[in-house]
Amino acid sequence: MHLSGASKSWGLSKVLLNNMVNIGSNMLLRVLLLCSVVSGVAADNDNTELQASNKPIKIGCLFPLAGPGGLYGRDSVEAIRIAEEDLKRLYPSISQTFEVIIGDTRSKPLRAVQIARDFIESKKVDFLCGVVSSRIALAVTEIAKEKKVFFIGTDHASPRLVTEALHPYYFRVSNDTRQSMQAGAQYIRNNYAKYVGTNNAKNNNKNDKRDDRLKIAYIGPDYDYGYQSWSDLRAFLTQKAVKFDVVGEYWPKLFETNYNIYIHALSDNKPDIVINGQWGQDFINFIKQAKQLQFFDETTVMNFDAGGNYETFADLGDEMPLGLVLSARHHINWPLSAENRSFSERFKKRVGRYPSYAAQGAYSGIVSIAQAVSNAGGVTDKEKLRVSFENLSIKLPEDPDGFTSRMDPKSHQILQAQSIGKTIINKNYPPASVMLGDWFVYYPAKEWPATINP
Amino acid sequence: MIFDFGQLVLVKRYLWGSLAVAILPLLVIAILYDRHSSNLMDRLLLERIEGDLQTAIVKINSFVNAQHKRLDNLADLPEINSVFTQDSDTHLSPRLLDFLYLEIGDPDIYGIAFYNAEGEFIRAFPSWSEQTYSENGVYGNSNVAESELIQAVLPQSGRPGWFLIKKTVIRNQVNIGTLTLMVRLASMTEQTSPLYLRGVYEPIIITPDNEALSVVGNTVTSKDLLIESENFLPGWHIALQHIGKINKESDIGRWLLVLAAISALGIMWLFISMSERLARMITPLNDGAQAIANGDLTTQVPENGPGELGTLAHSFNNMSKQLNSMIKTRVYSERQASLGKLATGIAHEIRNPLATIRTTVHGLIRSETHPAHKEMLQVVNDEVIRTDAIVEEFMNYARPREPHKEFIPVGDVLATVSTLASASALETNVTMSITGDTSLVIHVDPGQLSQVLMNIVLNALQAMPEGGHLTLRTHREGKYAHLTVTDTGQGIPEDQLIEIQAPFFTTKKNGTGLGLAICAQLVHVNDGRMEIQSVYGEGTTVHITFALAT
Repeated sequence: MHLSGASKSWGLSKVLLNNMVNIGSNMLLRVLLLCSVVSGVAADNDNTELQASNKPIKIGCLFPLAGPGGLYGRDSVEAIRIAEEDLKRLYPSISQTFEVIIGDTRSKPLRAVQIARDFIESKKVDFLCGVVSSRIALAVTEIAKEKKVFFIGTDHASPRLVTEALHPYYFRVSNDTRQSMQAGAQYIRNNYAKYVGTNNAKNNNKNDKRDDRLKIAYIGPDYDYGYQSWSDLRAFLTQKAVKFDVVGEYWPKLFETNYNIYIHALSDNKPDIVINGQWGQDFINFIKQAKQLQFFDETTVMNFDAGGNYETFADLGDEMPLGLVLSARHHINWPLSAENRSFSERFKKRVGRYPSYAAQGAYSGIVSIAQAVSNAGGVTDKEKLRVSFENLSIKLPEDPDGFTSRMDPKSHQILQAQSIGKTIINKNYPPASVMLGDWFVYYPAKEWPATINP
Repeated sequence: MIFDFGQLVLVKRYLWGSLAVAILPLLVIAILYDRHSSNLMDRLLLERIEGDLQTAIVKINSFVNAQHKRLDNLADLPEINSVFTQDSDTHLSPRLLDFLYLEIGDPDIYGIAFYNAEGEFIRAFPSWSEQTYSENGVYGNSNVAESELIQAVLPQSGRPGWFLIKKTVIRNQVNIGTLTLMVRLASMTEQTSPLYLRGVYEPIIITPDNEALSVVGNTVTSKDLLIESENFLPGWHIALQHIGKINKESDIGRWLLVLAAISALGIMWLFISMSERLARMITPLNDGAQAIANGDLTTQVPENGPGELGTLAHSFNNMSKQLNSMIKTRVYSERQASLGKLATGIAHEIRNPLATIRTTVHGLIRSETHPAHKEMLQVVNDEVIRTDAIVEEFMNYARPREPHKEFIPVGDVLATVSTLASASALETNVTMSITGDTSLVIHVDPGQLSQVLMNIVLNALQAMPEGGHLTLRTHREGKYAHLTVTDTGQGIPEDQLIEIQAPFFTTKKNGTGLGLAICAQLVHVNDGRMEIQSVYGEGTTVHITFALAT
């Protein structure tokens, strides 16, 4: 990993895990992960706070640990444990202990808001982190903004967090849907070249013959994440001169279980490709039901943000259809770098299975906080800490060789490579029988695309 | 042709009648059943649809009522009063925030908006949704405070639709502001999903503005409506529109009818085939009967018909054979009787005068001295003798004597005949030979057999005027002795071979035509068979068969 600041050694004193602690009105379940780190050596002059204080640095992480999305939260907690093991080695300059508190949001905004408020007001956390759903993240970031507490997003992906809802204390350390969709649009342009016109305003001239235009239908969850994904993809397709027609848009509820009427409607649209914006169990349920209806024989389904999660392949096993074009924010079989293999294998050794992409996001969140703290020399000076986050450059497991994740200082959105693959048979990662392969890799531009100009 | 009733009319009518009896009731039953089942299915389907429509209306009403209650609960919060008097930048109280987050935690709720008593927009929650929803002008609607109707915003490109319900907040009988709830439109349309039948019909919700919403909340073009419900909200109702055929059950009924028609056609084809086949099998019988009527008693018909038809053809052939045999026997008997009478007449009317003439001529010859006259009388006498011989031969044929059968070796008769004919054979340069098993014993009249063989041998010698070879052969064939007389003469033309044994048929200038007829008759009275085979230009073989003596 990339190290900044002075090199110091760390020692782990103990790890405590407390389960089921009531907060406020007994609605809150909490997992307390205490990472106590003891300094062993002298520090630089710039890091006087790091050396002087033994006050633990508190991080309050919000994840769903049960219910829909619960797997993401549980994997994130395990990844935080792995990160905690690495902190002592990576950031020896920090003498303070890290105390990571986990709050179970159960994917409900009210619970998330109450937990965040409790973390800030009662637990006096220095950082909020995590959050799987953008719907909940948008609520939590309001609290962070109001309370001037840093909120490090690890998993949610709506661009709204770094646009209309952006505030100085919010940073995101995983790619958002805008980056996924930018990569996806490029993938479509490369693979459907016959629909690419010249890059001018006439590209999407509706007078083109219907066969000359790519017929796209979209289905995504009915909340901001779904809207933003679809909006961004269409904008990028236009920007990239892809001539397309939208033949259908569908917005099933998040955590919907029956997609038959939506699949029938999509089928009736006869699209060339279907862009799917679902994630987690929603996407798995969609695949199961669509397969029953032979939907994958009719069209090509693409999911550029979260569909390529290992959870999908592990759940579906032999039933996973081939030929789907998917991506995720982390893959266990890409890149095949030592760091990524090590992360996946350590997780598997600890938990007994391979991680979902949320795990690497949570890991990134913790080590990014540590690096920012290390660079800022502590947590007291929030302005210094903000600058430290804005200039974050960190080598993460998901980074391919020769590439380092870096923060876009304007948008507070980290910039990472996005790889898209096709589902092919690969039994090297059981219980999955199908994994992604035939990779297309999209490297980020210098800045996060705050606006998408045609 | 099968439709031609001119020939075999009974068969065809019978078959067509059977066909009509088989098919017509089937068609009538099928049509009645189809109509009945179609009506039944339509009625059941309609009842089911009406039931599902009512269920959907109840569910939608329940859903909308739940949103109203949600709004009522919010409006009853004391903390909400201050929202209508604060500006949009003021922080909401934590307790109110909790309630608001609780409400927007439900995926059916997109947001909550606040308006003052004058209908002016104050703020929305969550705050980031303000811009999105205000783009559609909902918050800017100054009439919202007066409106009691649900206002729907249809799906637009990239955004789903929603509808707005509002609640005027009253405190101390004073209107302090209006609270609105933005509800996911698809959550209402999805309540109609039980009415969706893929490829057949789909439910649509018609808005007060006559916009049609599909089950997934998208706007669609309404057409070909099957049924419409009453309003579940003012101006809102559900309709079912065809997207395929009305009902598949009726289609199945029609398919069954088509199948019944096909099977009826199959039965017709079967009947026609059977009828034609029957006609094909009966026609030879008809033709055979016609031939017999025309005198051809040798007519035979094919006996390969199935069942009774085969038996009938066999009986027909037996009848034909027996009729032929009976008529031949009858003709023979009558001819013999006629010949007998004729012979008696000839004996009386010709032979007696001939005897008188002959006695007189004998006397005249003895008394005549003139040599020329004497020679003339001698010629008369010879002609009388020859005429008497002819009469004698005819009488032998007409009234053959009964055979005096004896057990004799065939060889004895053959030797006698050979001896008698040897002189004539020598004259005509014919070599004679006797071969085979001459020890075979048969039970015949030896005189008659000698007469038969002598006649045949003399005919053979006459057929070989330039010489040749005559073979008399005898051999055993099972229980029969088989005698053959084979010459190498000129043979008999095929057209004459049929008539050769008929009486008075002769090719000789001075023949009576009775020789072979008498031979056949004598063989017949001795219980034997005689057949003549000949190849014109090569020679003739006469086969005579008698039973061996046991």
